[in-house]
Amino acid sequence: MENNEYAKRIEPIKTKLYKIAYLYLANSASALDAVDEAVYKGLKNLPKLRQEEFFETWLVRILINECKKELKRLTRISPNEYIPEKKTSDYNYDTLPLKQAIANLPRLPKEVILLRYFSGYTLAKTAEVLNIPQGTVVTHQRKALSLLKLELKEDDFNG
Amino acid sequence: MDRNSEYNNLLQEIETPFTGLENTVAKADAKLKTHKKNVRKYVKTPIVCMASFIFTFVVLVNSSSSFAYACGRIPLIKELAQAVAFSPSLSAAVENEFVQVIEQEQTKGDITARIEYIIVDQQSLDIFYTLSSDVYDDLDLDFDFVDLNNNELHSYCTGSGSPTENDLKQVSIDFIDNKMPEGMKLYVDVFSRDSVSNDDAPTEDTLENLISTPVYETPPYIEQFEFVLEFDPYYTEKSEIININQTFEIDGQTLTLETVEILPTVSIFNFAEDVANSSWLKDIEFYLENEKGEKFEGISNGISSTGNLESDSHLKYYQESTFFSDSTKLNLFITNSTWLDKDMRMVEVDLVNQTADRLPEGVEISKFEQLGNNWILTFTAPKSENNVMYQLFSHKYYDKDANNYDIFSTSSTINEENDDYFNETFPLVMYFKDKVYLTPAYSHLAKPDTDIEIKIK
Repeated sequence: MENNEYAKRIEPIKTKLYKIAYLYLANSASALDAVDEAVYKGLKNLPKLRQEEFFETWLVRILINECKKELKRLTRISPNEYIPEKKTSDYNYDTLPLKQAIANLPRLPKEVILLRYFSGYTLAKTAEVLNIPQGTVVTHQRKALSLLKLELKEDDFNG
Repeated sequence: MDRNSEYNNLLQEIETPFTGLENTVAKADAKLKTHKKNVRKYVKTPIVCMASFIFTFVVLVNSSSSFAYACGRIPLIKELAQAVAFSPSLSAAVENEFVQVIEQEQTKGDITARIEYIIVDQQSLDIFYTLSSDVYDDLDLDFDFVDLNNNELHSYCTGSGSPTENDLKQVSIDFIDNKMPEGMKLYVDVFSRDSVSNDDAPTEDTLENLISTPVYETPPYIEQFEFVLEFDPYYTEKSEIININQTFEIDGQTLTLETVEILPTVSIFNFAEDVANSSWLKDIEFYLENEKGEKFEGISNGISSTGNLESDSHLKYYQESTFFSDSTKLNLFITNSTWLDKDMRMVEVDLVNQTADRLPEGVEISKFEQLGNNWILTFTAPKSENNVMYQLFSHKYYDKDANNYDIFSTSSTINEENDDYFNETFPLVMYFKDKVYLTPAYSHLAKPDTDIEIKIK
């Protein structure tokens, strides 16, 4: 893929990337930084992309990695706002506003929720992005909804 | 408001138009192509031979009476001595009980992390720790740190891992020009190496591996620990600064050894160069000898030299420490030097005709080949006097319009036809020009006819 083709492929998905980053980090400035860094790393690593049909999946993976790194940094800087990644299931996520609650979810339940309920990814595509079995996606989806006290049916979203 | 209403509001919130993504690709492109001001120091670290750790330890344990004495004072000293055996300076520190005992232990889930000791001075910090679990095998860690006020610390991690077979592992951190803080918060993310897939790890230096940059994947962390370390000023305030200010010439270039800082775990030599010099100093090899005939050579545990922003030269050098040697006389002997001519910052290389207008001394073009949109360049050079391979070109290259690019992987292999030589191979990824401008790491070596001697004390 040439660089100008890369630019064309980024254009229709950059809003989606931002939404994922924004909800991952609950912070607009950090989300923009994460998207910028992901787009840069995607461009830098473009020769490594062997199958162009996986472009979006590949880039979302890079973005999620960037979000993880950024969240780690934010947790150190603002420990009162972000709780450490290792959490217990008895943490009261339902006491937080939904956006903060999502940002503070354990890693996999959060990533599943973001992709399934806010990005419109199917079960199969979510599994592909996160590189985990579909059954594991279902488990984390159930866990996330339970922790957030969110009751959504399949037709409540686009997945 | 119930949760489902919050969900719908949040969906609307993220649909609200926002600004900031208009130039995302342009910024990425610029970041990749535009010359960034080089604000980092040029750092070289020595390659430590793992096999020598054990051997040195055996000699130390069997021959040193001061080691035997120290065994009685510091718990688990044998394991610590094993861990530092590769480093003469750290071994001397242990022998002289220059060790701050920490003994902080935390257990989370199925994992216990314990910091046993630190060896710390104004420049370097070595942390010795153990990780244990009845459930997980092969535990390892990533770490990060801030000072006690949560400020970022600028430093270089120069090594981590287990230098010996025992359970005591080590992290080494150098603070270069920044003074050691009063303490730090150390964040430790523990993972099991068993859970890290190696499916994508390159197994050999194939051309495909050379042109693909691995995307860093965070390992699946099992637990995170936070340790607070406070450094005892007894350790961090010890140093001796000797003013030398002796000017000397080597290969027609003028240098001045200005000062020597002797710290417990490292000796630091500060050189200055004459602005009229026609070459930049890239490396200088020397050793110290005291009145007892003991020699102190290049540092084995940490950074060996650094540059600065004003010059392309490396003017600060790190040697094994003489701090605990009780030397009354010390002389420095310069044995070799490496230079980069100032008019050789870049060399023009014709990719199509496989020629170069100039190359570093001893370096020859082996072959250039095209692989898709990439060029793969191979150069041949003789191994150094101590039979090691070294860097021929720095990681930046340019096209004729001065756009800069990065070499992000280099492969060095023994030359198949003559094992006194080695090949350095690197890619120019997505490079479409016929000519490229490489930045040599050096132009020539200059070995004095007789060692240059400077009296330190």
